[in-house]
Amino acid sequence: MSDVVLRQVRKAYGSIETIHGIDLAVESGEFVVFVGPSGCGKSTLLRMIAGLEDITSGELEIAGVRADTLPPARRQVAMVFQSYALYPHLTVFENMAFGLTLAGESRDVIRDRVSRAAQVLQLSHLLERKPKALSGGQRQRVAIGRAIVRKPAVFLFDEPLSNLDASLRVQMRIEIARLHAEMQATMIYVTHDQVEAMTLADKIVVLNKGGIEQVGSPLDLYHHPRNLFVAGFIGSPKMNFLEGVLQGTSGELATVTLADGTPLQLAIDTGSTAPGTRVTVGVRPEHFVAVASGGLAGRVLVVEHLGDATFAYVDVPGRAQEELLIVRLPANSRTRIGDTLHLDVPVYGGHLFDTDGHALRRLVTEDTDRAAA
Amino acid sequence: MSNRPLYTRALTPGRVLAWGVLMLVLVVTLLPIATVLRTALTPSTELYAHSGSLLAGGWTLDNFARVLGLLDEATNAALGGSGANIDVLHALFNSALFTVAVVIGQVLFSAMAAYAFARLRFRGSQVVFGLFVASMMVPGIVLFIPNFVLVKDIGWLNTYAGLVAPFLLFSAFGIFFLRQFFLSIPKDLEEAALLDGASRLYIFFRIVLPLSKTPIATLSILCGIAAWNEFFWPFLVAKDEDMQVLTVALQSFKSSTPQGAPDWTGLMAATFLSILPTAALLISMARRVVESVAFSGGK
Repeated sequence: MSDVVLRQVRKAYGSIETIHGIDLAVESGEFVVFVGPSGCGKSTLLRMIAGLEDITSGELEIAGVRADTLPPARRQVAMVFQSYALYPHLTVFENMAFGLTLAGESRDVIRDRVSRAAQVLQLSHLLERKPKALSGGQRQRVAIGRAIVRKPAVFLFDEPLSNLDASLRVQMRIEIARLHAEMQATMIYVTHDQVEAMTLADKIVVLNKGGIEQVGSPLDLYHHPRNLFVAGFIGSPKMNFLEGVLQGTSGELATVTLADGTPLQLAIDTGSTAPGTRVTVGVRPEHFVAVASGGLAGRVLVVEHLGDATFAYVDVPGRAQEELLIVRLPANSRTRIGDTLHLDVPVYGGHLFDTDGHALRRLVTEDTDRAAA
Repeated sequence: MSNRPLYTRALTPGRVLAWGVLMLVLVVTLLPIATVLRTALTPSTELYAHSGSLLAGGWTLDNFARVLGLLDEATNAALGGSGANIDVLHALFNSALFTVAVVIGQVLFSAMAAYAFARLRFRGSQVVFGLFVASMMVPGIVLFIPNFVLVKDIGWLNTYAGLVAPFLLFSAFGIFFLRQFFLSIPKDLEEAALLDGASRLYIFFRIVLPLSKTPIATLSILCGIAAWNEFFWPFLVAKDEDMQVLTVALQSFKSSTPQGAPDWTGLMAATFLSILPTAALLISMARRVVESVAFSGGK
């Protein structure tokens, strides 16, 4: 059963439409992440589900009930804000009990639910403190606790970890994942951090310019991006793009000539795309293979040693300086700045996009992709 | 690298001059208050005996006793009173009532209006707010005549209602001042409360006001001082003796001279009493008052 259903949901400010007819179903117990660049409308969409922004047209259903006409408090949702939004003049207990008090719950029920949530979130010893006496991570846990005690049908998270430092962010990310596994609650989570999206989500919704680019599991989006935008957005470091021309198809292999004349063979179903068509080849950094000679040749301008891997930024002739190729090399690679790298792309390692930026179907499974990497 | 401290307490000519000017300002400020106190403590009979001296010839609390109505008329006359009466306690009560009502009314209604302007979206809100701000440019005295006519027509002359009416609901400055603060309160807090099921009124009283203690205290102090010192409006609409606030009562006391001359010692004793509440406020909350005046851009 779907807990949240959006049908042709639109948002307009006067004559300017910012959300363009979103259709989406979030299944019960699913962890869905809205991801996209700044200004893509992901937070607006979340706020429309919460009732903090009006829906200009379309329908919203939450837990089987038409919700777009209901006030926020009656939508059975709880939201965790980026700024935590804790009431500074109330204690942790009072913050967590705020919604229950308003709902007219008895003192015993309130005490019981707050202490249970506090236990789960390891906040029991902090209940009498004011928010200003808490660390960032503790504040965020209180904000999550405030949502938990209300037992909502859907949890909404609006970039909840953005204000935390890197190590705390990882820790809180694990806690949220653990919480979701324990509660099996429906959660919608907004972030611009694709690592958060990839690690937390059952389903990722990639948004761009107020519309959905693609919906799918993290690996589905990674291995089978529907278009250039998703291909460039999902994955870190991002996918490399090279201009080329489709030469033809032989069996399962499409032949492409890159701008510098390098021929590539890729396991891609080119469908009705005619030979001679300009195409874009997408290669993830880990799919390049350094070879002794031949292939795509370029000079290494920057080398990053991360311990578990080495990334080389390679200047390929005929490409703009700012569009350096990013290549993942083995951790023990001895590549240095100024070296010339010869790069090959395995047949299962490339993506192909037509002139409109739509992906051509890869003849690849996750296993073959892993083998290519 | 030089070890010279960035800040030194050395007695430079500039610092001496600054201290000199400050002392001068202090003397100019305190001298009238000292004169009031000196006169209030001087027996009426000796008022003119040492007029050139900063210190009185003798000391007495009789003048305070007289204006507080603690002495009978015969003793009052024997002590050199003019024969005019001033019921300081009742005037103090009226002043306190007027001030408390004005402060509560102005702060509460200004806060509600300011919240509406800061957070509620309604047609023409910006225009209405602009009019409120523009009204700060209109000198208060211009409003006294229409207000007086209105209060008179309603039949509120010499009533508490007439006394507080023009001040109770309207303070463009208060609205402007609090709106600026309310705009700085994170919207997320109110949205979290909305999701928790709170109404706008609940959010206003339980979230916004508790978070606005400082600006509300500031506004209360500024309103309180202004109301306590208000003279012209109470003088227009509340002249009856039992309705007079302290400033008006002092004026009446000075003007009524059955024995030919004002009762200066009594007047100064009553004046000193009228200063005490604001002085107490200043002393107990000196820092807050100074910040309030500085923040408001007032004098």
